[in-house]
Amino acid sequence: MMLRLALANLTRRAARTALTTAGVAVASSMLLNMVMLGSGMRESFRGFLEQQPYQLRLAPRGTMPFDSEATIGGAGELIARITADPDVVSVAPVLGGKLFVERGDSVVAGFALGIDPTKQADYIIAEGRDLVAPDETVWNGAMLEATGLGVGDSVRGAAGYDPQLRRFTGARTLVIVGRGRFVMLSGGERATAVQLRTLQAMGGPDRADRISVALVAVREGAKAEAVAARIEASEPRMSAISTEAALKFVDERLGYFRQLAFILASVSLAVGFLLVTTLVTVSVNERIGEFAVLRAIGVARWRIVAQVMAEGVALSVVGSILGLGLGLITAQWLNGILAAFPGLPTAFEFFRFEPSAAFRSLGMLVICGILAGIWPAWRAASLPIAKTLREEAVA
Amino acid sequence: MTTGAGLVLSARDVRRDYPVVGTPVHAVRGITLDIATGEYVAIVGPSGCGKSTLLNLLGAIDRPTAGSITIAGRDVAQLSDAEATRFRLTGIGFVFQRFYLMPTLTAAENIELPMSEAKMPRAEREARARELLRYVGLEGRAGHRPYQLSGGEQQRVAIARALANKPALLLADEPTGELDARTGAEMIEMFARLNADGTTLVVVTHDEDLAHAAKRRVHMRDGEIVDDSGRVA
Repeated sequence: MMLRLALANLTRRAARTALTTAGVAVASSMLLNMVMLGSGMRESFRGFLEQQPYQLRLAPRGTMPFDSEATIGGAGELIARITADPDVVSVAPVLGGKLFVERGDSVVAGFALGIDPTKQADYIIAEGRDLVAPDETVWNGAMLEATGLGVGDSVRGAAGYDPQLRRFTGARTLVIVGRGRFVMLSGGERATAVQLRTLQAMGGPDRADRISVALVAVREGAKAEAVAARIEASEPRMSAISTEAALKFVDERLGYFRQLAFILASVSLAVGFLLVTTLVTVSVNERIGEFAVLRAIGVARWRIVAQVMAEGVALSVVGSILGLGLGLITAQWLNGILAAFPGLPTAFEFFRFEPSAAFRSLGMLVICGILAGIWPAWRAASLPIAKTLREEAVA
Repeated sequence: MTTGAGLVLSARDVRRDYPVVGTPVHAVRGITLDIATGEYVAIVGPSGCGKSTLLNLLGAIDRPTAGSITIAGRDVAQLSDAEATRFRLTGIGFVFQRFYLMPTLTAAENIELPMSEAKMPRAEREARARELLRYVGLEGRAGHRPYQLSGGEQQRVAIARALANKPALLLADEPTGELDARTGAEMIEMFARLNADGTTLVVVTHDEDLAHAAKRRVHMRDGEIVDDSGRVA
């Protein structure tokens, strides 16, 4: 009966309750978004790294993969030495570069990856097929769109441009055999892939037998950190970065994001708390006569407390549930905007829904709703009955 | 549920002072009052003479500064807050000037509220609510909310609510104060019928007609009883 009374009191001022619930929903959605932002990029990055079959990334000492244009020479021997490690299953070498394509009066440039098609984890074929022959290439949608070419077309591509001679270097005719989605690149970034040998050859003597990165798959059961330490000890020119080390690096870079998310999440909680407290306090003030009468006819103090707190909890729960939906919609919308941010891989998400984190944050809001109801509830239950009734009668 | 020789209420030298800066207000000054089971008592007097304060003390919603009040065998002045609450629920029925029905509940639900609080099973309390609605002549209004009822109907629902847990004593504070003359007269009849059916009634009123309908009139002035006519010996 008292619970029914609590819920009926919320619908008694339907517009006010709806507005407060909407406010709690907005605060809740912001809280959810901040929690999703706080862990989203890290977890997204972790998911991306863990879905690849490689546990180590080898880059020139002191750099992160593709963080600079530095390359490693003697790649063939290096790969052979690393492959000889009993805990290494396979090594996928990658060379980064540029591919220039003349289209009429203009030149279209794209990022070029030299890869071993049997081991690559950089793109997924969406149309056509992967590389087989040395003169074949796979492009992404942005590159195809920029050049107006399609799968099956042949094109003259160059790996460099000499500004003094004003001519392209390392040019050769390539056949576009497939359209791929390059997972490490942003959506709008133009990208191409050719066989490693092809890109090394197109780069001339500067690129011969060189790679930018090598991805290393470790035997199941072996410790990636131990393999990394062995490689770094035997190859002083190389940094061996494990998934955990890469995540730590990302964590350091995202520290400001997390702090911002924490502050905004705290503000959201405070806003939700104040909204519920305000509404419940106003509602109690309007009904002090009713509470005094309930006490006078023998309703226990704790039942009054429970009734008022139930109103706060109901507001928080409904607001939080609405906020969950609203938060997911806004997160998707914001992800769409941020996905177009230059230089960010398409596989990355700023706002990633993690059920445990989301429900934890909504749980915090519901606890805030409970706490928000304590003071007005205690006030309602502690009214001096006789004095309140006398004042109400005078009023 | 009576006190001593047929007494339902026995107040001895009851005082109620309010601490006010300067001189304290002595709202009730050493009142002694016995009410027998089945009596119908009207407490009358000028505004501010302490009638409502006395009623609040008798109903255990306020505590005397001194003295004792025994209702149905229990000294209500000595009860803890929880015990007093429980006592009000089961031992006392209250009727207020402004009805004070819960606006979001129907007439039947308002009557069920004290029974629900007293943990009466649903079927039993629904049956009791129907019975009480019939008693106050509102059997067709069970599903109506207070705003759909007239003032007189709301007061009758309030009386039914007060009777829900079969209290030893029914206390009413200016029960006709918000009603027009015709509805007030109906209410006076209702109280007479309640008393005729065995309910012990104590009514605080300015309404002379209501006061004259009572078998006993207690006149108060300046916090004291100055006349107690019709007292049962």
